[in-house]
Amino acid sequence: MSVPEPRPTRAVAAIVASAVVVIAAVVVILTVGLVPLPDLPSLADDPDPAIVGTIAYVHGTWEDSCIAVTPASGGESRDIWCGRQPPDQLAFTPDGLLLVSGWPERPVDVDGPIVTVIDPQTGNEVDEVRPDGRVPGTWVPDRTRRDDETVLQIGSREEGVAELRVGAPGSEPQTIVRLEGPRDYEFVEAQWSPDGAWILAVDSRGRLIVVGADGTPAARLLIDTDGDPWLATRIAWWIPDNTTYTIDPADLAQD
Amino acid sequence: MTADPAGRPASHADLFDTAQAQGIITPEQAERLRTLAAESSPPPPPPQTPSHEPSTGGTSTGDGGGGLANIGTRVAEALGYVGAALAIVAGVFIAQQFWADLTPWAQTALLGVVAVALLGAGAAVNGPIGTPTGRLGSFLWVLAVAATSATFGVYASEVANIGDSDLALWVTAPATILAAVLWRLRERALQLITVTFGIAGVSMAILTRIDTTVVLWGGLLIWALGIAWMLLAYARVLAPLRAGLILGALGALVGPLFMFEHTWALFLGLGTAVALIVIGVGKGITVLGGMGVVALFVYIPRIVFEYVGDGLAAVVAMLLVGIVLVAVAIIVARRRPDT
Repeated sequence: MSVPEPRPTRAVAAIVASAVVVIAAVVVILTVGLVPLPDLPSLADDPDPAIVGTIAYVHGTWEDSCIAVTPASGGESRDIWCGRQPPDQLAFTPDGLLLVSGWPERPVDVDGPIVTVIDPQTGNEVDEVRPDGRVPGTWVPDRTRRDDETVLQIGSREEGVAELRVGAPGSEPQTIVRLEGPRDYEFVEAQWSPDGAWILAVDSRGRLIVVGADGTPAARLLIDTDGDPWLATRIAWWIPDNTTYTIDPADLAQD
Repeated sequence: MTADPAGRPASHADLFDTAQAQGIITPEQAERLRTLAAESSPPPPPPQTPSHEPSTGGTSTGDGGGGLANIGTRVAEALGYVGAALAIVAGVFIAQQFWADLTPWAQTALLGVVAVALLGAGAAVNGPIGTPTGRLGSFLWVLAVAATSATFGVYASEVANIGDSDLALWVTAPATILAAVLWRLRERALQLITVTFGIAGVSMAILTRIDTTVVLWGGLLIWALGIAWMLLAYARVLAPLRAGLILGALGALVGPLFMFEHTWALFLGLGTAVALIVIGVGKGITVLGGMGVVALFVYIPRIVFEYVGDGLAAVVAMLLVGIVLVAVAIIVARRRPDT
């Protein structure tokens, strides 16, 4: 019988070979399997004054979320109210107050949510409204339809490709934004700006993206919420002296 | 140990000494085997009487009384595990009655106490390998690792409010570290199994943390870890040898199945199965060869159905592959010299 190799040598060889196999697998996974997110220019780094108004959004976790506001042109964002449960919907009043429904620590009324009115400048609660018999989610206007009835569509027709499509009345929707990313990458929310010149979209990584109404200027990153993308779908856009998509709290009050 | 054909009793000590001298086992393992042999060996039979009446009582005189004693021991051990399982299930149901009334810190502390108790119990029950106390001690340490995982899971989710993306790491990493420590203390099969699954869990948790879509490539990492496990076990870096080889083969064969979106992974699994058969036959490691054969029954039909379809042609293709395999086996068997 042949004398076997000294054990330390065999052990070292096995350790080295094992490390090589595992490292090779990791390298393959990270280089081939890991598809990066689309790299978008950041409005925070290079604000665009052509994009007007204020955008409210939600970030954090389902247990501890915050509502924040940021200039639509890009720049510093500011938390205005933080609680434990995220709101169901966000909207603005004509004069720029923020309407928040299903706010933390408020009981959800059986006839509809309680809508809290918040001053985005101070973060103070200024009023409380109970919608008249409306169920959660239907008291905000349809922000995927513009004044001229042009509609927004989201939804991936290819795996890993997020698409925004715009359809004018009587015509086929046209793809204006097409971003490639990981296999589950898609847009989960999109809405028109009040002036109809821009589109605010949320991707499946919780990033708020602004793009021109016809795809020009190209998509730019407004905010990376770095959280649950479904939280980030709670968005609203307000432009001074523009009442599109705004809600008068008096219209929500019960009789 | 039975006598050889010449009627001379074989010596455990001689066998262990030879194995140790040839580096097959370490001195520590040889000593443990000698201890086990001494504890397991029956007492010398009483002097033969003219009537050759078998002795009564608990002595082992071949396969009569000793076999009954072994059966009794195994039954007692099985009853012990069944009883423990019932107690655990009952304990869980009882705990559920008041679990919701506990604060998160109390829940964490309760699970921590259970983990520590199981660790202590496992340390106290430390029998030799292959004995009921040895197996019980290993099993208690497996439960301790599970309880540790639950402790950190509750702490992370309820106390620290760790996000979902990091929660999996909190659940797997501390428990895997504990499992590795326990394995170093007692290189038993159950401890090795716990470490193996822990490392697999940590690996998948890390991939998930990097990007959720990368998890689909986790099967490749499981395959690589399986190959590594077999290499390390064969080199005696991982012990026990048999458990290490089986766990490694399992990972290497199952990993490609998780990459169902990539058809080339089927060929990786098929290649691994063939390699295990070759190694198993060549090295005389029957379990590896057997696992490779079983894997062929999984991968060949999947590959055939993937590329040929599920019609008659696919079945005929499998028949031809099977015939070829049998022919190769006959050729190989005829060419190998009898040993």
